[in-house]
Amino acid sequence: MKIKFLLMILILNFPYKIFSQVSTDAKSIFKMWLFLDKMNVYQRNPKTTIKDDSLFSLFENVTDFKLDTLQSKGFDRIGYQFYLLHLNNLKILKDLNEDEAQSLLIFTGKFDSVIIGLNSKTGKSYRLLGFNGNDFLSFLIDITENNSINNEGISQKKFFNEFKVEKLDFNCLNKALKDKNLDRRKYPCLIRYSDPIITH
Amino acid sequence: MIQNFANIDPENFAKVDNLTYKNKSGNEINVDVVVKGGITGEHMGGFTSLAVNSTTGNISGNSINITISANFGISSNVLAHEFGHSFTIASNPVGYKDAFSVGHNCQDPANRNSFISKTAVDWQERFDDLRKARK
Repeated sequence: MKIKFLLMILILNFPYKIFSQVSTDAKSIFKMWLFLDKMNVYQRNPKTTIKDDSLFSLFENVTDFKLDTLQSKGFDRIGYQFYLLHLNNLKILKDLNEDEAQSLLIFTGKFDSVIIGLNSKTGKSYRLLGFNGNDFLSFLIDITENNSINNEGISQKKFFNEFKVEKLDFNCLNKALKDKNLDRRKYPCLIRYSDPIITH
Repeated sequence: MIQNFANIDPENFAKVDNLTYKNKSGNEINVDVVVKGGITGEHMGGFTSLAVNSTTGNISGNSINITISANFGISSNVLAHEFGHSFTIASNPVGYKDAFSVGHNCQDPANRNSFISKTAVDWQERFDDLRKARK
């Protein structure tokens, strides 16, 4: 009887517990993107390093940082937030040996900022500045196709006129990502943290 | 070009060939200076590139990369200049990153004794002097 009662409690609580935990943690999302975005680095005498969930778990445990929430206009009504991380302020919580350092550290040139947009309702996230890839076009499609304000859809024209986020230039991203040349000098919004320091 | 540099300035070549740097934990780490030919575009005859982790002071891949234009002859002083940059980088990778600004021009007299330029121009001039002395 006791066992049945316990089972009933577990069954009744199980879906509630899953759904009550549906939320999006910006820090975790950043760690996932940073890990995925990080390129493997050639090492002089490499030990076997596999980019897998074990390495991610280590990366997650040794890195810590504070995110800045960016000011935005228009997005609060459709559930988007924007976060900035300065990679030079990323803390490393343990001493790393050289192999770990090369596998886990984020190496930057002069530019060290990355920005992610997050939809707290859907859990979708978008890399919008500083990463090796940029998700602006899928971000734009999601906003214009899946959202409305006061039962009115959001056209691209409305988006570019009325939606703003500090430190992001949506017009630049839109032009840059549709330009077949992806010219980073012409479009500074395509700058990446991984762009090396270059002296001559 | 590398062999030519080694013949003319064996002392500085040995420094570059055995280059190490210290990260912020004080660990001494070997760093490779990798030279390749390629397109250098607006960077004139050559450029040196690297990425650094500012928190720990580690260099990406423990490697400093030099690209030299294929249009420059083997006796050019470009490699000496870029090796000089490598030596400065290894002396203080994070300091180098912090001191660097986009558009920095080593050949501008105003930058002659800056942290970024000094050793590079010193090595370039030393190479020129040693090369002349051999003729």
